[in-house]
Amino acid sequence: MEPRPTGSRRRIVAIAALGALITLGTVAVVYTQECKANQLRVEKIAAQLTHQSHERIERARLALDLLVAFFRCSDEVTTAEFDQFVAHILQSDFCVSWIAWRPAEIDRGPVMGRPEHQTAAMRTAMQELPPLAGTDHTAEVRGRGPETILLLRQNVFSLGTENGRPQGEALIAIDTSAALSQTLDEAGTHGLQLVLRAVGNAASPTPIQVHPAPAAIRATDQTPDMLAIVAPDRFEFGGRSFEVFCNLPSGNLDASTPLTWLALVIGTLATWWVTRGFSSMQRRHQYAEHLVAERTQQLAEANHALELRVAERTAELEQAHRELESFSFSVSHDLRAPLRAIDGFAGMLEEDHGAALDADAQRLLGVIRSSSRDMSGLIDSLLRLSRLGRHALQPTQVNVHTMVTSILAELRAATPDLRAEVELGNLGMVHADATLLREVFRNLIGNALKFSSKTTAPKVSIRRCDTDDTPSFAVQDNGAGFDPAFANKLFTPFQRLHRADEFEGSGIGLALCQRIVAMHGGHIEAHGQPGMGATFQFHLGALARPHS
Amino acid sequence: MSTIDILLVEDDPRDLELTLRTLKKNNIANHIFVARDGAEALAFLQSGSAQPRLVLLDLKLPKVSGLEVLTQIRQNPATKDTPVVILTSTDDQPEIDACYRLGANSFVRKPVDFAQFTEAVRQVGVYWLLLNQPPKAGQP
Repeated sequence: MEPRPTGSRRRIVAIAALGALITLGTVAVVYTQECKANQLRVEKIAAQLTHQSHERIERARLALDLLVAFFRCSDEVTTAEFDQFVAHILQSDFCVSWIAWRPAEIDRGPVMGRPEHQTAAMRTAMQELPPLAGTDHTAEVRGRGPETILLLRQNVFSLGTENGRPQGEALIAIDTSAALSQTLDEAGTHGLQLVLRAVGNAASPTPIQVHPAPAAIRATDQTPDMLAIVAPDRFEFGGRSFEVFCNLPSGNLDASTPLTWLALVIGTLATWWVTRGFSSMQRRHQYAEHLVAERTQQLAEANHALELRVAERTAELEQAHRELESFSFSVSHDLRAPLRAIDGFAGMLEEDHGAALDADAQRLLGVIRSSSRDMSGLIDSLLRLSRLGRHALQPTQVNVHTMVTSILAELRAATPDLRAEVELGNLGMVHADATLLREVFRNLIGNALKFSSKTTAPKVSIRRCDTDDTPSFAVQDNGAGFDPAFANKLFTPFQRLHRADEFEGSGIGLALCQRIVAMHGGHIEAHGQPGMGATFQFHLGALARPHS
Repeated sequence: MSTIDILLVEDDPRDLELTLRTLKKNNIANHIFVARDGAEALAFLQSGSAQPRLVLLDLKLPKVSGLEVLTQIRQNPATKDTPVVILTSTDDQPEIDACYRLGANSFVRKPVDFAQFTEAVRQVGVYWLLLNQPPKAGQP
């Protein structure tokens, strides 16, 4: 294969670059869209989580309000009353997991009716809270038990009688299980963390705790090193403000981009495929061009060879033509000279010594002389035939009627004893070579007169008989006729159908006629029967058609 | 400078005999100079020994061709007006045209037929030597 030209390589590089550009553009668009979709998804989950959390906290706050109201209604709440109240709260849809009460003054003893390992956790949670001033009490804890809980602390002094006597402080655990857990799990897959933050007064005890502390939820009263805060919301609880929002610690919203990778792979493959296809097409194209160039070269060589051969043949033909001309001249000059001598010297013998010769000797001399004259005629005919080949056709508008009349006058002058009755049709005009057409008519009319000369009432008819658009003429006589079996031989040079002692002639006239008619693009035909006369009809063909 | 009737330029002895016999039998010319080729004809003319009243010129001649002889005759001031009749075997049209272009007065094709031949020679002799009036010799 030929080395690839620079232009072609440049085109391939351009196509590859274009492909890479399109791929990168597509990848960028897909990446942007995917990131946006990821963000929307994360934001949606975050909003859902925040909303659910908020809702649960709101419900828990309702329970706390109820608890505060419950303590205000009684001067001294008994354990039984507290248990009854908590049972009622837990049965209702308050999203509360449990409620702990730490009485202000009285040590109520251990939590009743609960397994120790559960209540221990509750107590620990309770004790983590700052104690009441000057008191050291255990808490009363009532509830279903923790799974993941939010511990919300009511202000200690809010739990009191209507007249303001304090009865202790309470702790409410918000149940985060079920729907919230599910949302939390989903959020976890995106690296989201639910954050509950107390706003302002950071020095006071943390009013909110998560127990046990899972990674998905974080309670704080400080500003954590957040990467992204998603779907923030605010709420009030126990006289303090809180923020609930989602944190995206990894900050990676672009994590899931499978379509981007797919676009990158497809774009790269498509670029590679198109570049490869174009390169292969280029190679084929170059090969085709190479083939064409090769064939053109071969054709040019063949043409050149052909031209040389044509020139060679033309030279040969020209040489042959020159030789033919030289032959014609020889025939004309060199063959006629000895013939003239034969006839001339025989003539002199006859003139000078005729009286001394007997009748037979004189007859013999006569044969010599007529033979030489015959040969002279043959040579002249031969010359006319060969010259015809060199004659360039010069067609003009010919008045055939005038021409035939003039020929008849010539023939009558040459043969004074002409008896034939000649009938002339309307011959009109024709487009033909006048000299050659005259030769045709002279031969055909001469033949008609000659071959009808021995008939009792010789009659010759010359008429026009066009077929379609082709000018045609017919020369008819009522003379000796001919055997139709030999009709084709009539037009062969030197071919005669009659003996020389019947009708003289060289046998060249009809051959001449046929060649002349053929030169005009036409043809000649003969019809006849022995003793019934003959008709010669010739059609001049396309060359002779009248100009419209 | 003497005058002869005819300068006959002919290489074929048979044609020569036929021509001479015809001219003599018809009492057309008494003084005939015969040249057997072109060179001889030119030598005769250039010698200036005699001026012919008529030149009968064959075309196909040994040494110097008839056309060359004709050219020389027309270039020679002494013979530029002398009638020249081409008497030859050919009737090739280009040949005929060339002869007239070079100044031939007439072109006659020798007939093969004895009677026609003698008649042709007789008519040529009678016309050019008896009927025709030449210009005065030596005039420009």
